[in-house]
Amino acid sequence: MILEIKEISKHFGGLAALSDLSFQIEAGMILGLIGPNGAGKTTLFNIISGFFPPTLGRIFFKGEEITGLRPDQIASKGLVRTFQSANLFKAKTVLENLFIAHHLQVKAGFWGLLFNNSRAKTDETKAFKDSLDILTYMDLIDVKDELAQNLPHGYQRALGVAIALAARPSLLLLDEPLTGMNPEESRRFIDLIRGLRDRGISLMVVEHDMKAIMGLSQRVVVLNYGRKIAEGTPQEVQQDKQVVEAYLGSEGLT
Amino acid sequence: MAKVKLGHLIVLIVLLTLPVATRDPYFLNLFITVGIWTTSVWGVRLIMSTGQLTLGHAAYMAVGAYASTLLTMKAGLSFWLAFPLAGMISSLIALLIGYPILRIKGVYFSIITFAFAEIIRLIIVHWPDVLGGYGGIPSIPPPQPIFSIRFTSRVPFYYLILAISLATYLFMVRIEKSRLGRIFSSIHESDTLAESIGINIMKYKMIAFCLGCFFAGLSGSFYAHYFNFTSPEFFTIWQSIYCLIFVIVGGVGSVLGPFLGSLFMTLVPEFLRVAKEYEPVVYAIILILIMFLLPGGLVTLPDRLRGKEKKTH
Repeated sequence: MILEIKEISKHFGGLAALSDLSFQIEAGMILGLIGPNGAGKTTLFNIISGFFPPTLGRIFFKGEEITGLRPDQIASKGLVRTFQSANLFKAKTVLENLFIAHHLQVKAGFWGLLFNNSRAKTDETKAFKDSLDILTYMDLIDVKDELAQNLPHGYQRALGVAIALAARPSLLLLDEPLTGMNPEESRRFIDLIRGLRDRGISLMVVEHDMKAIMGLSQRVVVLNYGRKIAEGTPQEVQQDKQVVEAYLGSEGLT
Repeated sequence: MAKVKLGHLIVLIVLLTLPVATRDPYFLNLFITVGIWTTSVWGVRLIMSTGQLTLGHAAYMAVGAYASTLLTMKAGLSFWLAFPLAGMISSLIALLIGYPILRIKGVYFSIITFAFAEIIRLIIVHWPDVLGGYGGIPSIPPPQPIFSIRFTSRVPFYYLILAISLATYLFMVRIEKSRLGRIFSSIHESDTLAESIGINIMKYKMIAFCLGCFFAGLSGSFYAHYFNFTSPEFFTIWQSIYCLIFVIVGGVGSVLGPFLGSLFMTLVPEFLRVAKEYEPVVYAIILILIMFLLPGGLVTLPDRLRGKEKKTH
């Protein structure tokens, strides 16, 4: 198990955003997380990645407890998330975004960073090369010198994932990666996500595009009002009575 | 690029030969004041580069001034030792205060830095036995002679603050070009994204805050030994606000901004003496015009002029 969520609850004041939620992610798989708006998906992402503490419950990553750690500590263990909105270093170029995202790979200390000693130089050269590799993989190499804020929406989403990849995740959490993409872009992006899994990265994906998530995931967890109402293979989940009810009248499951 | 470097060289030569051109103490005093401000204001810009707006910078100048005063007068240390120690003591105080407050963002951070600065000022006021209280501490000794240079006139003080400012400038350029500078600006642009890729944002905000206050401390120490007097009146909220105004007038976007801002805002009131009682009004109008016409500060003036030329063609 790469990630174990154990009896997680999160209360905001008197409101229960998540209640007694447990599930696991096996290494090498893509887990889809779905649920109507307000079901608690993003809250769960924020808890797993350390942005908020859970009210109750524990989280284990590769067998080690990570509950209560800071986001940067969790990232340094190899659990990295992306953001729903285009959260980028907007005034920097695409390449600079990637360069800074290699932070964890640059081991030089304060003076090394300041005076760019030989240790820092070696790390920087490697970070530069790796940045180019990731940009090539994410189809962003042609826009590497553009400012992030000037990119079209689809490219910005791709850059968000590229930044996360630079932190060398073994588990990557993608928060609605396909939002705002046209069908062509979505299709390309889904292939990229599959490619990441084939390279050994486990993934957890929140997505509203049901067709995409059912095609992509090996397992699906369904949340509604902060509770898990179903878990299983895409086929099992689609036939679940509770799931159909939760979605009835809104999006449907076809 | 070569043009910029030539410009730098000319400015440097002008600054180096200034006392040759004039020994007018009034004029030299003006430039020494610019140097004192610039050194401190560079610290403000460094703190701002992580997205934190401090309203308490003058308090760290005060810490430097009083630390240096006590170290030389009570502990009998040489100025040349007390000066770097004053910077370090300011950093240390910044570390203690920064630990609880650097988690706080935006205007709340600014207000709290102001509150802590007032606490520091009130400690000085209410501890007259050691810190001189409202009356301040007079007769602070000038720096000891070094390389047989005696600090008896304005000229050696001028060269000393020039050396300090120049070293500060080079340090700031170094940070700007290093990965450290990039980490600071990434925290400014998006702290959540920075955290998510493994940057310990508290650590780097703390480094920026302590370094920024280090230069405030150096500036304060020089101030005390130059005027041979220090008093809590010099280190009020107004001085902190001036620091911010100087950065913004000069331009946050460039390392030269604090220098241009300090130079301009120190020299302009002198030229405005002719306006007599209307001086503050004219000063305010100039400030407003700069903010409207050059929102990026004085450093963007050459680009703006060039941009306008293009438009007219």
